[in-house]
Amino acid sequence: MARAATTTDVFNAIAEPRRREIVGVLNDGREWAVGDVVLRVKLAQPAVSKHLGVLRKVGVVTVVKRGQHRMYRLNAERLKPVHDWVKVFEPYWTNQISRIKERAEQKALERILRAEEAPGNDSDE
Amino acid sequence: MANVAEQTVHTLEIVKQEEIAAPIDIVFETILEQMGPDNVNPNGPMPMKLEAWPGGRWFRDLGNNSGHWWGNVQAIKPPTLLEISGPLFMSYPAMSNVQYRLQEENGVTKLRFVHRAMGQIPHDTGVEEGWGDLLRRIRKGVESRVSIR
Repeated sequence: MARAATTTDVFNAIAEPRRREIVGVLNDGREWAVGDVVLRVKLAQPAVSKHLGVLRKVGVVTVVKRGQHRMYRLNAERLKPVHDWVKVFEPYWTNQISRIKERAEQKALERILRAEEAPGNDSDE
Repeated sequence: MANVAEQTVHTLEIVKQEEIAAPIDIVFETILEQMGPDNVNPNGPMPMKLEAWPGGRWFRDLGNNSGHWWGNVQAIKPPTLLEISGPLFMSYPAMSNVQYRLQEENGVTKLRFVHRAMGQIPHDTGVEEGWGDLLRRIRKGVESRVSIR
């Protein structure tokens, strides 16, 4: 199956880690000039402009021209389909991993206590 | 009847890392327990069966030949790797790969969890309305048959 174009939908657009990073920068809801995004993500301006172009095409960011600058702003509503899918799984895995941690650490402690109580163990003497 | 429509395949990736103050064998054993009989979902206990060998099933056994198959063990290398592939609890065309990878350093086990999925997400309300209409028609048909008796 051919890979979907990055501008097919929001899922494909944010599959690229650098674009997710840019979304993270724009997450404060303010308008950002390309130059400021470049400083934050430490990528060359053409690359940042290209990523912003992809995000704009799927509607994740909006752009307005203010004087010499093109200002980008996050359109968080467009990320809802991603949120809707992730929210199903995220709580399940988070809960499971925290239970694994809690239970495994409890078992490790019990193993240490058993070893200390075992007959012939004179480590406390 | 067959419908062919161009639809987008969506992808999902969830990555989590955790440091656990326990030996690796205990952590691996605990993963098997939590994926199996001690499994819970946000609403409460939901015991699962996990057959911990290659190809083993991970499923809900509700008795009387009913249940829900979530996936199969794709790879297992105790105590460092458990990999599951399957639809999990998605009742739509989608496939997941879930990995638990463990590494012990100085008595602390590092757990790296990855869930990757791809498939079609049924967020198209038109589809839902279509199913709703079909179900209404089925119910109407059943009710009419019952009333004829």
